[in-house]
Amino acid sequence: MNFLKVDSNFRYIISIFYRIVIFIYAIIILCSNENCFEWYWYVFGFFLYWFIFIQCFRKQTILSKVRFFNDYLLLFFILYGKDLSKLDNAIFLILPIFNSYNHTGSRNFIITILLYLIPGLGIWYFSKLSFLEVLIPFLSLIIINTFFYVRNMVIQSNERLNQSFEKYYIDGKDIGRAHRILKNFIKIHSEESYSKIFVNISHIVCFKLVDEKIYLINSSNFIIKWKIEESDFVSRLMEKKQFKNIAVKIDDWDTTYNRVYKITLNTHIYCFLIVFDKNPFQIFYELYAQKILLPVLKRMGQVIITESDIKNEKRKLLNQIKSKLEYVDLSANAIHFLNNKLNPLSLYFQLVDQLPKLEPGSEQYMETEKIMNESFNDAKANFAPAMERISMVMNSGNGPLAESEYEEVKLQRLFVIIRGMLLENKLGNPEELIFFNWQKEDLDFVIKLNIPFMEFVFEEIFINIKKHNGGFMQVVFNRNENQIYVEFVNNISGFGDVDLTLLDRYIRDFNNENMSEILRRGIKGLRLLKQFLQQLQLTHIMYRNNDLLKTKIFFKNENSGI
Amino acid sequence: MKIAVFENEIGIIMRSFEAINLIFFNKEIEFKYYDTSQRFGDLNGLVEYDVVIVDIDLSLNSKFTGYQIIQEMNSRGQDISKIIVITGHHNVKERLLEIGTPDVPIISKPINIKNLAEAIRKIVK
Repeated sequence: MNFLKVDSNFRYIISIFYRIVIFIYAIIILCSNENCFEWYWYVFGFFLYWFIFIQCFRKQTILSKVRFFNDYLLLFFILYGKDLSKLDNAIFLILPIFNSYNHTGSRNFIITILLYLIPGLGIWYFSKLSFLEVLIPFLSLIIINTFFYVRNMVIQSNERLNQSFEKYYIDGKDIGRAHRILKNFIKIHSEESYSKIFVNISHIVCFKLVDEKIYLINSSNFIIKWKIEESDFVSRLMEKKQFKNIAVKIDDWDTTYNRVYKITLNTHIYCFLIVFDKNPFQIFYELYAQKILLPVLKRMGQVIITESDIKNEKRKLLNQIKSKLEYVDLSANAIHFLNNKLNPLSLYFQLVDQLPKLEPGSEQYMETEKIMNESFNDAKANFAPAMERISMVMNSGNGPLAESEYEEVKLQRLFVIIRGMLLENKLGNPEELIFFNWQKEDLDFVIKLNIPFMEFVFEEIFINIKKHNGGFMQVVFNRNENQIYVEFVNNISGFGDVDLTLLDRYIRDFNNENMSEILRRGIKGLRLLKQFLQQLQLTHIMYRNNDLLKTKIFFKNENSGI
Repeated sequence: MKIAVFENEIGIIMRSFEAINLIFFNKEIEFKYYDTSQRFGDLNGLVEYDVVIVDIDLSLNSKFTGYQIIQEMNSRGQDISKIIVITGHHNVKERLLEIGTPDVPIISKPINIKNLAEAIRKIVK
C-alpha cells in the first residue's frame, strides 16, 4: 500500500473521529446550557446530521462541500440561542477549523474563506469580544493552516509524481520506452493544483553530456530537430548546475520559458530541459524546484541510466548471437558448397559400382569408363577447394565452442545461478530443493569460468532431471577437506521398468575421459555437455545408487591437483 | 525425350547427366543446360520439355531463382508434375510447401544417379 492510500485511510478515520467529537461536544453543550427547542428536535437534528454525513462520507467534489455545510448547520442548530461569549460554546464553533488540517475533500477558495469567516463573524457578532480579539487568533490559525497545507501539498504531490516512476517498474510494459515516463509525469504534474496557477510544464527533454558534447537521450514528445543556440553552453554546464531561459530551438515548440538542471549520477552527467508554457511564478518557483522538481529529476535520471544499461546488455547479447548466427550461416553455406564439390567424387564411386554391371567391351561400357575417369580427375581438381572451405569454417572462431569470456568468479555466483534456474525451470521451491553445506570461505573461492558454458551445463542437467525424475530431486552444495562440489540428485521415474543397461551406458559415457569415443558414438545430449565440461576443465562424475542418480561437479578438487 | 536443366554449376553436374543418359536411358535423352532463367528465355517454352530439372541455387545473375521458376510454371498453368528439384540445401521441403508445390521430388546433391534416373522414369511413364 503506498503512502497516499495510507494517508487517505488515516484521514477517513480522523474524519469519523472528528464527527464523533462534534456529536459528544454537542451533547455536552445541550446538557450544560438552556436550549431553545424540545429535546426531540435535537434528536431529530442528530439523526439528520449523521444521515447526511454517511451519504457524503468518502465522496469528493460537491458532496465534500455538503459535508462542510452539514457540520456548520449542526453547529448553528446546537448553538442557536446560546451565549457565544462563553469559551466552551465559542470553541464548538471553531472545531471545523481544527479539522481542516485533515480535510479530505478538495476545497475551493470560497470554501476556505467561509471556513474562517463563518466562525469568525459568528463569534465576533454573538460574543462580547472585540474585532481585534477575534482577528488575531483567527489570523494565526490561517497562517498555521497555510503552512500545514503547503507541507501536505508538497508531500502528496511528490508521492503522486513518484508513482509515475514506480508504475514504470511495476508495470514493466514501458521498459525500453522511458519517454513515456516523461509524458506520464507531465500529465500527472498538470493535474496538481499549483500547476494551473504557478508553474505548468509543457515538455521535458533529457540530454547527456559525453566528451564535451550534448546528446539527446529522451523527450516527452518526439523531436525531429533541435539546437542549443548558446555557443558556450557546454563549458558553462561544467561550472553551473542550473540555467534559466536558455536559447534553444526545438521543432516548433515555444521554448521561451525554460530551466535547465544538471544532474550527476554515478559518473553520468545529464541535463534536463524543462519547458514551461508560461513564466513560472517566481516566489513559488524556488520552493517548488527544490522540493518537488529536483528530487523527481534525479529519479528520472536513475530510470534513464537503467534503461540505457538494459539497452546495452541487449546490444551485447545481440552481438554475441549475431556472431554465432554468422557462424551458422557460414556452416550452412559450406555444406552446400561441399555438396556441389563432392559430386564428381560421388559420381566416380557410383560409376565404379555400375561399371561391372555393363557388358565389357561394349560402347556403353567404354563411354561409362571414360566418364568415370573424367569424374576422377574432376574430383581431384575439386578436392582442394572443398578442404579450403572446411578450414575456413573451422577457423572462423565463432563456433559455439569457441573460447571466449572466461572470467574469475566466486562460487557464490554459481549458487545464485543454480537457485535462479531451479525457479525458471519450475522444478520447485529452491529453499526445499537445496541442501547447502558450503562454508563462507567456499563462497568466496575464486575460479576461472566461462559463465555461458557453465549455465549450459546446469541447464542440460536440469532438463534431464525434469524429463526423468520420479518426483524427488535435490541440489547439494557440499564440501569435504579437499573438495568443493555441487551434486545433482534425482530419483528415476518408473525405475522398475527402466532399461538399466541404457542408463548405465549413459553413465559410463558421462564418466569417460576419451572424448573421441563419446564424439563418435555418444548420445546426442551428452556430446555437447561433455565438451563444455572438458572445456571448463571441471572434474565431474555420475553414478547410480539403486534408483538415485547423482551427478557431481567439482569446483575445487585438491585430490586430483586441480 | 527432352529435359531442361537449370543449374549454375553445369561443369560439375553435367557428367552425372551424361552417365544417367548412357547407363539408364540408352542416350535417348536430349539434355539442355541453362545457368540462368533468362538464358532459357520465355518460360512458356518449357511446355516442350518432358522433364524440367531445377537447382534451387541458380546464379545470382539469374532473373528467377529455382523456386521462382517453379512458381512461374505453376502460375502459367504448366504441368508441375514434370519438375524435379536438385539441391545441396536443407529445408527445401518446407519451402516447396510454402509455395504450394509440396509434391515436387527432391534429389539431394551429391547426385545419386540411380535415384535421379528413377525420378525421371516416373515422370516419363
